[in-house]
Amino acid sequence: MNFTSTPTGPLGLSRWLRNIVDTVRTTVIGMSITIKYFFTKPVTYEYPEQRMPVAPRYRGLHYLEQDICIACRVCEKACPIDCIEIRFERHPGNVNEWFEFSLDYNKCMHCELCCYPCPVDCIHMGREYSLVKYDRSELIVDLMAWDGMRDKDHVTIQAAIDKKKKKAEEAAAKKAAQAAKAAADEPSAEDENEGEDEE
Amino acid sequence: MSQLTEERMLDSGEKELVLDVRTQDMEINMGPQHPATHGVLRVVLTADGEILTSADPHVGYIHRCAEKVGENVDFDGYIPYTDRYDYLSAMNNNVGFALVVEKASGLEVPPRATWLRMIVSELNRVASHLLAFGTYGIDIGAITPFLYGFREREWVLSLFEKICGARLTYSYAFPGGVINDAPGGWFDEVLKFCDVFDRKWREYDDLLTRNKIFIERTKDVGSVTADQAREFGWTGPCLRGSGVRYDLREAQPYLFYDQVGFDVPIGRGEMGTVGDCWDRYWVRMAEMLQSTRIVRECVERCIKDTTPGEVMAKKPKTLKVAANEAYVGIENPRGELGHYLVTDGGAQCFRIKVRGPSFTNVSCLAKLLPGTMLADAVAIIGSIDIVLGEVDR
Ligand code: SF4
Ligand code: SF4
Repeated sequence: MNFTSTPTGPLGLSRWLRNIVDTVRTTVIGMSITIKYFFTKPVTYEYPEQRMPVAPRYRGLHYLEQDICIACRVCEKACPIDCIEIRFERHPGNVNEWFEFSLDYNKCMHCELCCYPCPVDCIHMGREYSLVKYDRSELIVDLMAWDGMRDKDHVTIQAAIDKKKKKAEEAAAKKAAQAAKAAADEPSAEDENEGEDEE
Repeated sequence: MSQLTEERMLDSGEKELVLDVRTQDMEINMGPQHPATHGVLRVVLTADGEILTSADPHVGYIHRCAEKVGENVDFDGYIPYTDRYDYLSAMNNNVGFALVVEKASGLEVPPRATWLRMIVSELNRVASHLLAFGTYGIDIGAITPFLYGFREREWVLSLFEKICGARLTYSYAFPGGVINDAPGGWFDEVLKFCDVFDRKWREYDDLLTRNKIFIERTKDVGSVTADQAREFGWTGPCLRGSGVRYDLREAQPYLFYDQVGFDVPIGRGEMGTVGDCWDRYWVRMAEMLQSTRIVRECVERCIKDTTPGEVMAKKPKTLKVAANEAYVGIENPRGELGHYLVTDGGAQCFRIKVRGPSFTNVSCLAKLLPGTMLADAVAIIGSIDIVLGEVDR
């Protein structure tokens, strides 16, 4: 195959002059455009001092509404690169004791795939975008608003435990009463009582 | 270089003076860290003085196993990876993959989603060509066009930020539709952008396209005839720059491209020979105007024909596609981006093969560069407009 390189034809005087005229003419046209912008306002931002406003849908750093999160792990599964780490323990009274809800921004690509499937709509992408850190380990960000459990949760758990205890006590008392009754009555009554117990 | 003069006896008895100019071939590594290779491309050039004798492109520095990843994540989860092969035209990549999954699974896409996909694809084409225009100016030695090109490109990116929340890796089109409907006032801003852009385009024309120095650097450089371009397997603006009228939007219409009117600009050898660097560059410039034309028509049809809010088809939470295979090629800003998908009934691709335009286009360098001047190598590589993210994938 033959490809043309820059041609080296004869450079006549007229062509030489025309080249110069064309070059000067087109350069002046270009310069006039640039000069025009000399008197307009700059479109750039002086970054750290001025910050560009971002759109409402901007996909920045996540934020989590921890009090409505039900710890269902759907977001963890939806993430294509597994950068969400959730560790919690479920206590009686449906209270979660949080150990970790962290996002690894070393890996996260801000695709928002974790936010769509959340059943209670509690993980969102915020408008903060600056993630300047001195060390990579600092990029693993914990999204939890509080660690472990709040006082309220202790109360809920305590209430749940008390309720359970009370229920168990009641059931035991009932059972004892039934046993005493059953000893006195005929066997057919026992069946009815058992039915009640299950309720 | 050493110069020796040597006297030699010829058979006829005459004496001849022989000028012995010994030159040595020099091997030059262009890249992988070279600003003009638009990424991590390494071209090993052998130069005899100023003339190149061979060129050997080395690719693969940022290989990320994109196709293999597709076999391990579900269809929705693969969309962010498609953003990353040609990061300058992520919208087109999203649409390409979404289309192939829809073809294999038979998902119906709401018309509004299709119009929105067309609008964002064409805006993305403008943004991508603006970057090609700006960086090509820098390669040739003109810095100002880059700044002006980026100014308009930023506006497009802001439009994308408003509709999907990201400025580079959009993840906007998913199998079944698009994630968000356009926010209020978005269409008006798109139309405003198109009007302003058409005015600014004339500025680019005066500033760079018709600049004598630029023309001298690019005309008759790296000319490729239509047959050669076909032999290389070129697609997109490179092929059209060589005078072949082949555009997938026109040849095999996808989305609603058969319902809108647009021209396919081809290179005509206006400044030098057909298929030189200037032609390839000019095709890109002319395409931007066609894109704004398509966008205007799409916006009009989108507002008129469709109801707001219907942008995603009803689909199960985890999309499973029965055993099937499909190929969809779309017109990416750089050429034909083809996805070949094989499914086996699971929620992942059984195999996804990507036919990237940059990878095919870059393969010509070994044939195109020998015989040209060293300074023209930059002009030629720039005119092919490759994105290394997509070459290496
Ligand atoms: S934004 Fe994407 S990558 Fe980041 S945590 Fe969510 S799903 Fe994972
Ligand atoms: S999907 Fe929502 S509710 Fe479930 S764990 Fe994640 S943030 Fe919490």
